Amino acid sequence: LENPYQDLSTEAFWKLAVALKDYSEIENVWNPKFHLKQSDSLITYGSCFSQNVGWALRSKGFKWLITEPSPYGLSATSKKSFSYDLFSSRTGNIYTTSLLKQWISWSINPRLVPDEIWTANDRFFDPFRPTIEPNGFASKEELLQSRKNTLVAFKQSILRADYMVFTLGLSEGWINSTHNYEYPMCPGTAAGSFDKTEHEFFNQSFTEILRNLKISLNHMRKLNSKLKVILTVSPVPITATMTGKHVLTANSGSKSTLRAVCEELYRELDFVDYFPAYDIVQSPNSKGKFYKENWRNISPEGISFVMNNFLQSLENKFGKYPNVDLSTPATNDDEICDEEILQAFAK
Amino acid sequence: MKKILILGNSHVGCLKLALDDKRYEPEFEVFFIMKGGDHFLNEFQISENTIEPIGSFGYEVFNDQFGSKTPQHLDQFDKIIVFGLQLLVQGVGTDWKRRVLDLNKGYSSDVLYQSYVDSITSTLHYKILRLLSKHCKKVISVSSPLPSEDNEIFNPLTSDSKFTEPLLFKQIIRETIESLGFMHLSTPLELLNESKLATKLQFKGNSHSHLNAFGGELIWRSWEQYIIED
Repeated sequence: LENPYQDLSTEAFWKLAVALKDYSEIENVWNPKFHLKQSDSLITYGSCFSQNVGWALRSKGFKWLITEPSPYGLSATSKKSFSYDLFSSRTGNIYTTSLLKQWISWSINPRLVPDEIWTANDRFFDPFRPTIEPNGFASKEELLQSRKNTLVAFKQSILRADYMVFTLGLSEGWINSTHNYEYPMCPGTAAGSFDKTEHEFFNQSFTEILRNLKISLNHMRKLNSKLKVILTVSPVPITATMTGKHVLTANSGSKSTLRAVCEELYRELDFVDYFPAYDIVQSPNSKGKFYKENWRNISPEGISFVMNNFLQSLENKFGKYPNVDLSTPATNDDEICDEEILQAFAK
Repeated sequence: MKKILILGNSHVGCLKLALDDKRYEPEFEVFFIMKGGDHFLNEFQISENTIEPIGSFGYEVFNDQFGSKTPQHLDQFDKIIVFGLQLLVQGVGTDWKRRVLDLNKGYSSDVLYQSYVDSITSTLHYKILRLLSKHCKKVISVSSPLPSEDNEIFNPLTSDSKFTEPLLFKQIIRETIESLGFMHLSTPLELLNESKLATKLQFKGNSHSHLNAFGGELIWRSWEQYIIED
């Protein structure tokens, strides 16, 4: 019997490509669309997992563009505390595609930024980056100046980048229902106070996530027509769900929806690729090895494995990069996951 | 007679010059353990209340100062002075220019403050203080002399009379070092010009950042009361 499966490579067969292999032997999971060069400017945004992407690529000699650098003398530990060098500008985690759309829209037209500011103990907190300063800002003016800096730097990063790596993290989120803008975290968790008359939960559908990401991509391509985008889905599970479901099913519902949106855009748009970080970490033959003990955070070995896979796939398709040593770890210690604050509310 | 131990780098030179020229004749015994640049800890190890040489230069210094290469107990000294070793009121060397530029970039006061603290704690000076803090209480920290007023890199910055940043930095140095339980002394005012940000030319040594014997004498005299007191 003849059939079209006979001529396929081993990667097409689960038994040969996955089941008979140790997780560490799995390769060519990604067939990259674009030939990233080390001289290309890459920007990174998204959920906390995406913090690893910039660090890993920089450690391998790629040009990770930071348009909002820290002040001179700030140590690596302090940079992390103050959310510098986590993303290309100091946006904090952008968990949802609607939040990405909001950042883009505000960076293009800063007059749209709401004037809401949270206060506690004479300190000032940015509702749209509630953990960006560990103790809040000293004054309202300082906060507004910092946010203005970030909006300028965010736009600059899009204007100057060749590639954006964006990691989709969540479908759940919170909006201000009166004024229709989104918070990255539920008010009252990291800062602020929760007002049930104003703060409304949402869990976006496939259509909404897709629409928001498409609008974001359109805006970004208007700013920079040469920008290419590599989407990833965070393999880090949701910390807590407000859907009323068990967190396990809420997580798989959310992640599979995000994964499907990526697939849709990968197929539809030639300037969009999808890197399967989520797929690699979730692979059953890894037997959970990539997770830390809390079965949520990704271990340094896991991150290194994923990012080396990223580079290995590029090398397999486009040839070896000079001075890139894939045998060394590509990792960034612990990422800053604001949503872990929700864990503190677990009874 | 009291015994004083001075740990430092090339800035210590002016103190030695002042002693050699008999511009300052101390009423205490002085021992110098020094290594130029930022290589002090490559030559000497501080642990378990002792300091010992670990490099060939260190052995020479110990032989010269103590007549032996054996480790020296720190508690034999009435005061230990940590001098220079990258700690400068303006930050670290010519990088001060970058700090000045940062002032107008809209950084939060917290992050700027932290960047100063991080600059201090990253110096060799602070690292040595940390090692000493585990064993000693009688330590005085002294920052490097300020650059001379003809320093081309630094001088343009001193012309801005509104520029108060170094004073803030000075305060942060003091707070950071006092948190280890040690006293901190900065450059004596007699050495400085009107801006209080640069050393008068008359005290300039063999480079912009080093003092001559006259400068060394003034520094000795500025410490005197703290050395003599218990």
